[in-house]
Amino acid sequence: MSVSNTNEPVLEVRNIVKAFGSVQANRGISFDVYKGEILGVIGPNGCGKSTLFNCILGQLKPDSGTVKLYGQDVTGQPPPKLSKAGLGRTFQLLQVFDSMRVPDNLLTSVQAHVASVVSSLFRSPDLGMKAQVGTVIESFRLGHVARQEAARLSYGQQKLLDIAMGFMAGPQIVFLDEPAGGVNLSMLASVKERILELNQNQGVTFAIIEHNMEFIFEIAHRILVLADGQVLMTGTADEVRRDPRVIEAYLGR
Amino acid sequence: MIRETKLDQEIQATRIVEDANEKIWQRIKFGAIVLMVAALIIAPQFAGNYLIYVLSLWAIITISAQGLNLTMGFAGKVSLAQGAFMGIGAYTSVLLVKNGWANYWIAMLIAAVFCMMIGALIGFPALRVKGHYLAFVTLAFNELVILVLRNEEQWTGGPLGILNIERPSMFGYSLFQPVRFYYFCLLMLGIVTLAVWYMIHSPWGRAFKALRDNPNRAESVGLSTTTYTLLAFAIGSGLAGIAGAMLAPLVEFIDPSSFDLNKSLEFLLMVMVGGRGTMAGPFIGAFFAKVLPELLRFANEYYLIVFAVFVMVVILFFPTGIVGIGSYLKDRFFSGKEKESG
Repeated sequence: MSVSNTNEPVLEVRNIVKAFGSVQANRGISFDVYKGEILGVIGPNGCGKSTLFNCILGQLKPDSGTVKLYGQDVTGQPPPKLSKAGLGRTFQLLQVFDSMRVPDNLLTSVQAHVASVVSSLFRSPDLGMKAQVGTVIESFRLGHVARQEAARLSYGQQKLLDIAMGFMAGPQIVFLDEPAGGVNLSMLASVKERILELNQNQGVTFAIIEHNMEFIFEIAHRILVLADGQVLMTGTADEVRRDPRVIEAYLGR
Repeated sequence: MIRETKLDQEIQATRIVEDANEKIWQRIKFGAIVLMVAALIIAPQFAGNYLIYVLSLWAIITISAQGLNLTMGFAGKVSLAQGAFMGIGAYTSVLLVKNGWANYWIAMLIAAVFCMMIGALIGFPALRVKGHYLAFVTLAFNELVILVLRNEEQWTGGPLGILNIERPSMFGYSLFQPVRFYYFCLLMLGIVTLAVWYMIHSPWGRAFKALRDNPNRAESVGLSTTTYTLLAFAIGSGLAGIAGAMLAPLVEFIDPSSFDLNKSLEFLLMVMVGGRGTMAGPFIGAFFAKVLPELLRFANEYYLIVFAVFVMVVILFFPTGIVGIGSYLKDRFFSGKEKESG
C-alpha cells in the first residue's frame, strides 16, 4: 500500500481528554488525519477508541482538547452539523432504522443533505434519488433483501446497510467503528471493495477502528495505536507489527 | 458464475411474486377504505340522532388520536397531555367566539396555532428526557392545565365550565342539525387524514420514524433531532387543538373534567390498541374506545370487562395493536412471506 500522496491534514485532533467518573477513557490524544488516506485505529479493548470517535463526531463532549476540520475549530459541535460538514460514520453497535425498509434507510441517511427541513416536506418521498439508491443497494449486494424492513435482515446484512448509510451522503471523511466485526468473508470482501473504491476513485478519507488486524493492515496507509487512553505510536503496518510496545500493549506485561 | 445466475433468477422470481402479492394487498386495503368511507357517508340514512352523535364524536376523537399517533406512534415521544391540548383548543376557540373576538373558523385556526406553540414548548423537555420520565412531565402539564381551567373562573367558568356553546355555520348553512354537524366532522376528518398521510409519506415521515427507531443514528446522518422532536409535538398538539375546537360545539358544553388525565390515558390506550405508528391505528382505537361501547350498550358493564381483557391480550400478544393482528395475518396466510432469520 502506498502512503497517501499529500501531507495536508483535513482533521487535526489535539489533546482530547474525556473521563467517565474516575475512568480516564482519553488522556490527551493528539493526531492528524491526512487528505485521501486510510487511517487504521487499533488498540486493546477499553483503550478509548470508540470514545475518541464519539468525541470527534459530537456524540460526546470532550472534557478538554480541540478538533479542527479543514483548519476550523469544530470541537463539541452537534452531530447533525458535523454530518453536514462532510463527516460520515458508523457505530460499533449496529445502528440502522429497524422499522424502515432498506431503501428508506438509505434515503433517511441522505435527506438532510439534499433538502432543508421545510423544503423536504414538499419533496417527493424518494427525493428523485431512486436510481442512486438502487445502485448503492446493488453494490452492497443487498438487492435480494431490498423489500425487507431492516430489522428482518441478518446481522451481516444489517452491517452492510449500516456502512452503506454512512457512505450515502457522499462524505469527505468517513469514520468506521469495526466494519469487519461479525461480517462473513464474502461480505468482508465487499466491504473492503467499497472502501477502496471510495478512497481511490473519489478521494474519500477514512479513519477505521478495527480488531481484525489482517483486514486493517491490508487496507490502511497508516496505523494509529492507542493504549490506556493515549497514543502509543503511529506508523505503517510493518512498523506497527514489529514494534515491541504494541505487542506488549496487546498481550500485557 | 452459473450459481450466481441461478440465484439472480430466484431473486427475480421472488420479486415477481412479492410484487403481485403487494398489489393484491394494496387493492384489499383500498377496497376497505372505500367501503368504510361509503358506510360513513350513508350512515345518517340508517342511524338515529344518537348514533350520529356518537359517530361525530368518533371523528373528532380520531383527529386528536391521529395527533398523538404522530407524536408517540411515529416520532416515539410518549405524551400524557393529549386531553389537555384538546382542552386548550376547546376553551380557546369558545372564549374567542363568546367574546366576539373571532368567528368560529378563525377561532379554530387560532386554537390550533396556540396549541402548536404550547406543544412545541412541551417538546423541549422531550429533548432531555424520554420514556417514563417524559410521560410524567406531560402528565404534570395535564394537571396544570386542569388547575388553570378550574381556578380562572372569570374566564373559564371554573369547575362548572361553559354552557350553551353554539354550533357554527358553514358556507351559510347552519351546522345546528346533527346530520349537518356530522358531515362537517367527516369533512374535517378527511382533510386531517389526508394531511397526515401526506406528511408521513414525505421525507418528514422518515425523519419522525428515524427519531423513534434510533435518535443517535438520526443525528449522525444530519437530521436535527431537536427540530423534528419539536415539530412532532407541535403538530400532534395542533391536531388536538382542532379536535377540541370541534368537540365544544358538538357537546355544546365544556368543563375541565372533559380534558383531565383520564382522557389523556384514553388517547394513549386508543393509539396503543389501534396500532401505534400506523395510519389506521387511531381510527380503530377510537372506534373501540368510543363507538363500540355504545353499540354494545345492552351488555352494560360486562362490556368493560370484555374490553379490559381484550386490551390486555392485544398489548401482550400484538404490541403493534389491532393493525398488528392484520399484518400478522397478512404475513401468515396471505403473502406466504416468512420472517427471515438467516
